[in-house]
Amino acid sequence: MMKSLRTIRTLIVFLMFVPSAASAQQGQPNLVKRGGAVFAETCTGYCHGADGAAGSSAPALAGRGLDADYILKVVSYGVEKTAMPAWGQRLPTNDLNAVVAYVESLNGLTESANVVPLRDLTPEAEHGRDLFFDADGELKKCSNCHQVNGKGLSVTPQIGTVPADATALRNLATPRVSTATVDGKAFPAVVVTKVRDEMKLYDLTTFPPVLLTLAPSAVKLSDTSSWQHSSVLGTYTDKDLESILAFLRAIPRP
Amino acid sequence: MTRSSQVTALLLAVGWLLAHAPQTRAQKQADTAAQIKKGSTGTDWPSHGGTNLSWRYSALNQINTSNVKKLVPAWNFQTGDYQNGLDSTPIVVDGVMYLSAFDDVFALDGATGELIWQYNYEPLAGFSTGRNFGVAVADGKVFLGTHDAHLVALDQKTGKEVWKVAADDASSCRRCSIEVAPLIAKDKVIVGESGPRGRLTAFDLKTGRFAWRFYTIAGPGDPGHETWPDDDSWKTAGSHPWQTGSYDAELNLVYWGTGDCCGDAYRGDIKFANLYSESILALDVDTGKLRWYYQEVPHDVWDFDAAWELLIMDRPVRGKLRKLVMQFSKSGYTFVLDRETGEFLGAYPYAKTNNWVKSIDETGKLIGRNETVPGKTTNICPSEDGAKEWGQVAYSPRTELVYLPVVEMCNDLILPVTPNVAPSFVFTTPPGGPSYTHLDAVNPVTGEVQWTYPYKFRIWSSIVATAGDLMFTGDPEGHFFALDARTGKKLWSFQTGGGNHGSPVTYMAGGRQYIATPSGGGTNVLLNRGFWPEAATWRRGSTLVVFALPEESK
Repeated sequence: MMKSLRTIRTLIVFLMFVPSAASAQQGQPNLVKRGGAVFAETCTGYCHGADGAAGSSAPALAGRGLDADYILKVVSYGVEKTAMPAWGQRLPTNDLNAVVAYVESLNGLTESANVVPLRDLTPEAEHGRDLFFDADGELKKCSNCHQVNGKGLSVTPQIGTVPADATALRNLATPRVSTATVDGKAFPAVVVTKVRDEMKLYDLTTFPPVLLTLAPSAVKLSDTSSWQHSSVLGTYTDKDLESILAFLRAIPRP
Repeated sequence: MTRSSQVTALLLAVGWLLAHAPQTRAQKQADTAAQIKKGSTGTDWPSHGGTNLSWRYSALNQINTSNVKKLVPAWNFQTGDYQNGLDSTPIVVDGVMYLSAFDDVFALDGATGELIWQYNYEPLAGFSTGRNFGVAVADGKVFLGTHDAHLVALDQKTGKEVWKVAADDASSCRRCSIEVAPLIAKDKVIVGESGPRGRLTAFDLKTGRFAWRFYTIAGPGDPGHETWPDDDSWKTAGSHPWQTGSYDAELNLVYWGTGDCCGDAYRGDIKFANLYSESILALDVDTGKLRWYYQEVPHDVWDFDAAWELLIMDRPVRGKLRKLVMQFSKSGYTFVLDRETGEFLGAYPYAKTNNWVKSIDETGKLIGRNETVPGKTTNICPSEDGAKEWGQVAYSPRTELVYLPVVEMCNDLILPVTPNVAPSFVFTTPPGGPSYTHLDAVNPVTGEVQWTYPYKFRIWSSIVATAGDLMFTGDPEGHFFALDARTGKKLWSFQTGGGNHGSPVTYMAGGRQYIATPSGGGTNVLLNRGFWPEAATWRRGSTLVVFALPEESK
């Protein structure tokens, strides 16, 4: 499928511009990255919004099942009687290809490493998924610290074992949390990296956690901490937590 | 604009003039020397808007009306990001310039342009680079907001990360993204962020720890939540605070403008005002609590953000000295408010073609709204680009004038019949004439135009005014130029080689005054709105071009 689309695209680009169509053969991730930059500059703003999630005056482009040749056609020739201009004459060929690859990537046609498609989630697990991630940006959601299946922030390493129930989740032992003392002030911390002249650790005093970069000599560490996982679960009910656990159990283990 | 609305606008303007005319005594009470000092930059260009009063005015006068003709390039800096252009405002502290371009921050020697350090932000997997309007500098740190909703603090001397915090989980959160230059207020660094609901978040300058958050849409329990229908539409209504706010240290208040609501999608019922979209907000710096709000455009369907810069000044209104905050809004009107209370003191139209309302009355009520009917085309002026875009005005306390670039442009607006679907905007020239720009020198309170400088295309760059009685800005053809701040006469111009769509600044290094301007046409500047074929010749690029007087003649 991908191959034939690329062939069509190369052909169309060739017919339209005659000059080099070689850019479509570039490494796809680079092309998508480049396309993202062109898109951010040219297509967001008032129109398609950041990441194609819809702006004020043009439709969303993400997650709509658009395919490459359709995208190329619209980008090149525009849409009559709308604000969508014909970019075929305005963007350099390689940028045009890049934008097409980028919009294509928003439509789930590009494989993303390490992400497992989650099919057949139970309604409870689906609900748990929605509770886990922070789609509304309200903070104190699981994904502000934990990454699962390619989404979320990784303050801590990938979740290994899934706790048995809500009580276990609240009382989760957190051996990675230590007490750091910097300038005479102690705070709960998660050490991320430590090399000869640089230490990176998360300060958990407030939410969201702050990643600090410090000289190792400036930090005193002690293994224990009174920090508790329950302190960041304030907005979830036990029922919510059970749903979240159902979601986590549904993710295939590596 | 109909004849009757022109007359109404004229009458309103005349009314304003009459109300403010007998001001000779009160005039003297305007901005005190202390306030002028607070609003002016000197050796440094410390904040996004020059200072936290957002005047974009410098007290430097080594370069002035008598010698500006001799200005020559001193140095250039190429960011290497040829495609994306350069939209940001450089910050200058102690002779060092801090310039952001998308995910890069550069520290440059202000006198020579030599690179001192460079920082490249690595976004979350799956995120491309994003536009950035500039950094903030304070407490030995340089602060950068990122496209994937992080705030990063860099060591001012080395460019190494000191702390980094995710204001949101951008991998989950729809549209969560920071473009604005952060605002420093007291012990806090504050960022405006896009998201399902716009948000302002304050972090501790030193530690990066979360201090407070304010959502720019009234949620349940917030004053104004009743201006939403009884559904979930408020949850994803946007209203992004996507330009940098201002700060009054004495009142302990931060002022911030919010963008349009709901992607302008027609929501069926005009009775819902959709707070706090298209509003000016005043928040307590310590707590983030709302002190007051003023909504410029309730239930907007025209895409008239109120996100633009907010100027803080003290001036007499109707004979009484008032503490003001004002905005030259996208809608083509200037809104003047009391910044202690949020009281509406007046609004005047600054765009010539203006038909979205007939007028705004003395209480701030929109009179004669030009409502759009779903499925039908309505020609609305100004266009959704705004009578003024995000390029920022400058205010000179010497001339007591604001320098304001106004674009005359309209658009055909078609609201879809289906609710909650974004409308279509097709740009048009104003009725009976071409689309063009007039750069006006206006009395900020009355709107009276002192002089005007017409320009064939659009001016979208910010403006900087100086105590040399000059104002500088650039055009999309690449010219960066100086006008006499008192007369509007063009005194100097230089072809920078790329479209201008950034924010010039001025500063002093080694006893020499420099004027720096981004060149290279960022977002939108190269877009032909359908009637400027010449736009095809406007050049991209991303260069900072810096000028000074020749060593021997300064």
